[in-house]
Amino acid sequence: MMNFNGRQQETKKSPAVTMKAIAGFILILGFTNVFSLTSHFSTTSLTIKYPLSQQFNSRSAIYFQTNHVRSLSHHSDTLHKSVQLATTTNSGMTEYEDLSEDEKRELGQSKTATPSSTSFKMNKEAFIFMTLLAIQFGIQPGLVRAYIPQTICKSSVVLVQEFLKFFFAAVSLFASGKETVSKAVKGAYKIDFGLDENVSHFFCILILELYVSCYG
Amino acid sequence: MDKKDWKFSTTIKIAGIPAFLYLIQNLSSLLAYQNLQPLTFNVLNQTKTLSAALCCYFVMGRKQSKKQVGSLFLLLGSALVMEKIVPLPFLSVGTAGGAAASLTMSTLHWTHGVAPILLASFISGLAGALCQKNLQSASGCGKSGGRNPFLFSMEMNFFSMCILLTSMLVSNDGKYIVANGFFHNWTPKTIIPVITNALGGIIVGLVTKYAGSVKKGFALIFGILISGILQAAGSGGGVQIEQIIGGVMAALSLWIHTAFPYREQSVNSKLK
Repeated sequence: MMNFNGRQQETKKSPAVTMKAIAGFILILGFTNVFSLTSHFSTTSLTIKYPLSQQFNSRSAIYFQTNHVRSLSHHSDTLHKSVQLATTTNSGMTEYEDLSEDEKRELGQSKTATPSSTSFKMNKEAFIFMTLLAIQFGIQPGLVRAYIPQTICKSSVVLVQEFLKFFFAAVSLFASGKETVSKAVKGAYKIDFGLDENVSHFFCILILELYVSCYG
Repeated sequence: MDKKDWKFSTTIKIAGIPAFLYLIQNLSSLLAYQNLQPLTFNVLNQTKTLSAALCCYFVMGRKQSKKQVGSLFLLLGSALVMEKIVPLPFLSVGTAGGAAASLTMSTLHWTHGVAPILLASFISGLAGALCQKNLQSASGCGKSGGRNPFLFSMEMNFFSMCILLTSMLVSNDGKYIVANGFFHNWTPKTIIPVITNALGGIIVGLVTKYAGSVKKGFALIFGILISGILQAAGSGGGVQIEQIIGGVMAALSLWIHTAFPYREQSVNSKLK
């Protein structure tokens, strides 16, 4: 069994105290997150499915209007991405896009109040990716402690890591569609297509080569 | 040449400097990963929110809401509690020996665990702020807003590899690799955390794209929970009470920080 506690065990607590503490931790976190997520998703779905003016009396309308505003305020948070962007992971992946696809759609639907069959699908995608992120974030420290020896050359690990990130980013770029790739590469190529011979130029030509090899 | 043209110096400024910073961050994080318990690592790693807020304020002038400032203090408190810098007297019954343990805590824990992760967190905030500033500035890149995030990520990874390879020419790691081979001390399983770490970057991008930063914060809170459960379920140990309290404080801080951002509009409306 993988030892997620790592090599350096610190002071051990009695099982009863530990279990009580874990239970409390799980309860608090669980309630906080489940309620937050549930209210977020459910508010959005109510906003989409039931136009406020048609479905509710004044009192409930105020209640749902409040939730609606809260929901929208949540979405508007993404406009202030400075800190969230800066707290980007150590992967170096940036998040400087504007509103997410989900948020754009939700905002759009809340204006039109027309349900869409793709809404659930997209929420499902968001949920799956969030789950994957939580799992990755949760298991990563344990995996590193279990499988990366202390005596390993750290530069070799980071170099392979950077190469894999480059590879995965390239795969993601090409998987995002022909138009997206074309737009991204053309933009970069157009900017770099000057007389200056530099790394940036070389890099863009490399991208173009990959693009040509993939899409002919 | 047009100011919006993308020169090599501009490229270095946009992707090179952050890539260098992220490289140091990655090396520091790896060191901390190996010397800290999972829950401790994940909570201390969240202090990058604090550094990001500070760096964004000093670099870009971005403000924080009052609740966010409170959440940052809460986050700082969680780190202090977790590292037992701030003792919790009411837990003395449950943590008998905890004080003694804190006194006898190995220097290695601090020098190879806490210090590297705090450095990594600070660098993360600084690099993020610089990235955003450079991307948004007119002198950085003309149409930076239209740049593909995956392409930008590839650029930074490319620069990181270049810098790392160059540094190996003079560093001890380079000599070590020349003497023993690149994959010395690697096992087949070593590639697993390397792959998951690399995939993590892509997943973060996808979460941001499909769910947004707010929900990403919730995912990270769940991640802290998972690491706590795994640490507790692991053989030969458990989770200390300080770690649990620190984890809860960090999770609450993360939630408050993502749920109550600073809004310029509210200030304007008050003025009117």
